[in-house]
Amino acid sequence: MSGPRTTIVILAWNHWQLTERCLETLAATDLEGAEVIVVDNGSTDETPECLARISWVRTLSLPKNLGFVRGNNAGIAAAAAGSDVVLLNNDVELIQRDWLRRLAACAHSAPDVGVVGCRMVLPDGRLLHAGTYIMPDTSWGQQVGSLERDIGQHGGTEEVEGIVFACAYIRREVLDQIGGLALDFESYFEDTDFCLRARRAGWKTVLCGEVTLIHDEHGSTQGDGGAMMQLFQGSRAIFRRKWRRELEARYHHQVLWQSIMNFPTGYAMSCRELLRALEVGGVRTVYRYVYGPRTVFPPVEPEQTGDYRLNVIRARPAPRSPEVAVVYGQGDVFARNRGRYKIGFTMLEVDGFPREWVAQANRMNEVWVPSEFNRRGFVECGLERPIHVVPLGVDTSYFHPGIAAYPNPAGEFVFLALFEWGERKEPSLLIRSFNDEFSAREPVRLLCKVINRDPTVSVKEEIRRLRLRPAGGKISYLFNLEFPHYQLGALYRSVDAFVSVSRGEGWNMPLMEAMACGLPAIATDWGAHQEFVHEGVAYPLRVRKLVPARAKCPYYDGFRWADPDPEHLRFLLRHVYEHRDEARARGEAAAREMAARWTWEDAARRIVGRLAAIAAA
Amino acid sequence: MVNHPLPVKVGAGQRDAAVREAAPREAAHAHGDAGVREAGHREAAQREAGHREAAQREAGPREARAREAPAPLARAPVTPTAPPAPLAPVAPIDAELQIARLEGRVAALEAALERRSSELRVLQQLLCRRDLTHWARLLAGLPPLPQVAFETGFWQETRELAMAEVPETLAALWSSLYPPQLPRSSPSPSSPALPSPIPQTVR
Repeated sequence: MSGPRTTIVILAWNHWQLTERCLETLAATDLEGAEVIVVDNGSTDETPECLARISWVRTLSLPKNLGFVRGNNAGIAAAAAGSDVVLLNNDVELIQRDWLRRLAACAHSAPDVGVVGCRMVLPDGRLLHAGTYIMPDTSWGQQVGSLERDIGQHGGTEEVEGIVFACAYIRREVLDQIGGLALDFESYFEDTDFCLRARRAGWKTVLCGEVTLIHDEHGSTQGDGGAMMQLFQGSRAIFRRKWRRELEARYHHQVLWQSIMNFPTGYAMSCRELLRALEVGGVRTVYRYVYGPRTVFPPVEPEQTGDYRLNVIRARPAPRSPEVAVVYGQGDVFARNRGRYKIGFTMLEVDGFPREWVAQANRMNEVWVPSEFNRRGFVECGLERPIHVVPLGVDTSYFHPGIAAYPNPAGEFVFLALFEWGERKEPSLLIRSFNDEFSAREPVRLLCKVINRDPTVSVKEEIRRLRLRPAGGKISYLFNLEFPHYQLGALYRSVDAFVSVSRGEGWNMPLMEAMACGLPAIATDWGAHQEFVHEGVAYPLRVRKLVPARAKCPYYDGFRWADPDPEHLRFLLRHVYEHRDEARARGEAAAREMAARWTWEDAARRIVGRLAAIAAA
Repeated sequence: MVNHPLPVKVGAGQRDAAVREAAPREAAHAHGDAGVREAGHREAAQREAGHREAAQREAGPREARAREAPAPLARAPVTPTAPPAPLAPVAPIDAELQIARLEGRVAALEAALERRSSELRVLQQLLCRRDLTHWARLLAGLPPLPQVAFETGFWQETRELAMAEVPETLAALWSSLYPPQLPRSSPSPSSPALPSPIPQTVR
C-alpha cells in the first residue's frame, strides 16, 4: 500500500474553539504518517476560514450540515484507499502521544478484531466511557464507566458490545465488508448499529484500555437539548425496529434469580456481579428479593440498584411459574424458591450446615456451593440432593495490577487486612501477632480496615484490652469507613501485602480481589478460599487444629472452624516483609491466575454449563 | 472542637502517638520562647537603661507584643532563631551594671516561662487529647489532624458507616503518619515537674 496506513476523520460543525483544541492536541501526538481529514459539516462560524489556514489537515467542506452519519461517511469515502479509518469527534482532546500506535496495535492484535474504542474521561476526570451495552428491554445504549472516579479501571483490552464513535479505530477490511455508518440514522445509535453489523459479519469490537482521551461530551450540540432529544428518540425507534429481535435472540437461558443485591453484604455484592455476568453470558435473569418480612432478614430492599443493567433486570416481570429458579442466599430461605426446577445456592464458613438448611436443601432439585469445602460439609451433614461446585469470581476490570495506587510516601512496608470485627475474622490474633513480631522502629505497618455494626462491641475497648506494646509493630485503622466497592482496588494497590487470618470463609472476596491486584497474600489454609489459594500464588497460614466455632452467629452452633497458628503467622509476616522480591513475584502470579481462571465470566460460564445440562436433561 | 465532655487521659498504649505528637507540641512551646528570646536581644541592645528600667521595659514591650501578635492559627511554622550577636567589650565600671541588668532579664524570662507553663498545664487538664493535639499542631504550623481517626485513641466509637473515598482517605492517613519535617528549633527551657497526675504528652 503506497498511501497512509491510517486516515483520521474529524467531523466539525461550528464551535471552532473545540475543533481548534482537538487539532492542537492531535498535532502534539505521533501521527505516524496518518492523514488527517476534517469534514466541515456546513459550519457557519469561523471554522472554514480557520481550517483553510492549517496546512497539515485536508479539509472536506460539505455545503450544509448533513448530520453525524453522512458527515462521517463523507470522510470515510475521502480516506485513502486501503487505509484504516479513525473517526474522531471534534470535542475530544488527545492526552497520550502514542494513542494512535496503541489503537492500531490493538486493532491488528488478532484477525477478528474489527473495531477498537478507548477509555474516555470527562474534563473533570470522571470515567465516561469504557465501551457500551444495550439491552433489548429498553433499547437505550449505556456507556460502561458510570461516571466513576478514574482509578485506572478497564485498563486492559476487553471485548465489548459496542463503543461510542467519538473515537473509533475501524479496520479497512470491516469498512470494505459492511460499508460505512448506516444511513437509517442521522445521529445517535449509528455507532451501536455499526458494531452490531460488524459482529454479525464476524468482527469483534474491543476496548483498548491503554488509551484514554478527554471527551467534552455533546460539545458540538450543547445548548440544544430539545433537538438533541428529538434526534435521539427518532434514532432509538429505528434501532429498536432493526435490532430488537436479534438482541433478544442472544439469550439462551432464562432464570428467576431470587437473592439480595441492595445491601452491603457478601451475598449482595456477589449477586450483582453474577447477574451482570449472566446477562452478558446469554442468560436472561429476572431478579426478585428473597428476604423481607417474615424471613430471617426482614428489611425491605431499596429499589434503585445504582446500576442501569441491574435496574432493568429487577424491573422485568417475573414469570408466573418459572422453569428454573435459583435462590442465592442462606439455606434457610431455600423454601422460598418459586421455580419448577429449584436450585439452592449457598455457602457457610464452618465445616457443616445447620439442620434446617439441610432440610430445605433436600427439597431442592439440586444445590450449588462455591467450594469443595462446602460441598463436603453439606454431604457430611446429610444432603441427599445432587450438589455442584459453582465458584464465585472477581472483576478484573476493577481489580488488577494497573489500578491507581496511593502509596505511603515514607516507603514503609504496609500489610492490609479487611474485616468485620468479630470472632470469625480473628482480629486479635492478627493485631497481637503483628505487634509482637515487629518493632516500632521498623519501617513496617499494619493497616486494618475494620467494620463494626454490633452495638454490644466496643472495638476501641477490645483493642485496649490487647495491651499492645508501644514499642511493637505499628498499627493504623480505618474504622467504619465505607468505600465505593469499585475503589477498593486502589486501596489494595496502595499497600504491599494482604493478610487474612480468619477462622473460616464461605469464599473471601476481599482476599481474591487483593490477589487479583497483585498483592502477596497470607491466608488461613482452611476454608472455601482454598479453591484459589495455594503456595504458588499466596502464603497459606498453617492451622493448628479445628476448634468449636463459638460466635454470635447461630448458624455455627455445633460446627468447627480453624485455629490459625500464631507462630506461623509471625513467621509469614516476617518472611513476606523480608523477602519482598519473592513476595512480589507471588503476588504477580496471583494476579495472572485470578485473571486467567477466576473472573465472574468464568463463574457465569459454569452456571451456563449447568443450565444447559438441566435443559438437556 | 470535638464534643468531648471530659478530658481524655493518655494511657501507656497511646504513648506511641504521644511521642509522635510531641514534636509539634515541643515546637509550639519553642515558638513562644523564641518570641521572648528575640525580644530579649533587642532589649540587650539598649545599654543605656538601668537595671530597674530594663526590667520594667521587659514587661512593657512583652505586653505590647502579646497584643500585637497574630492569632495562634495564623502563625507561620517555627523557624530557628539566629544566635545572639556577641556583646561589645565593656568597661569594668559598666560590668556590674550589665550583670545586674542581665540578672533582671533572666528573672523576667523565668517569670514568663513559669506563666506559660502553668497556662499549658491548665489547657492540658481541660482539653481532650485530640483538641490538645489539634492545638499543638496548629501552633506549630502543621495541618490539623485528619477528620478520620486512624488510631484508637482518637476515634469515636460508632456503629454507623461513614462514606469515604479511597484516595482522600489514604492521603489523610499518610499525612497524619508522616507529617512534614519541621526545622529544628533551639531547645526550650525545661519546666518544673508537673504536680498534676495527668500524664505528660508535651515532652
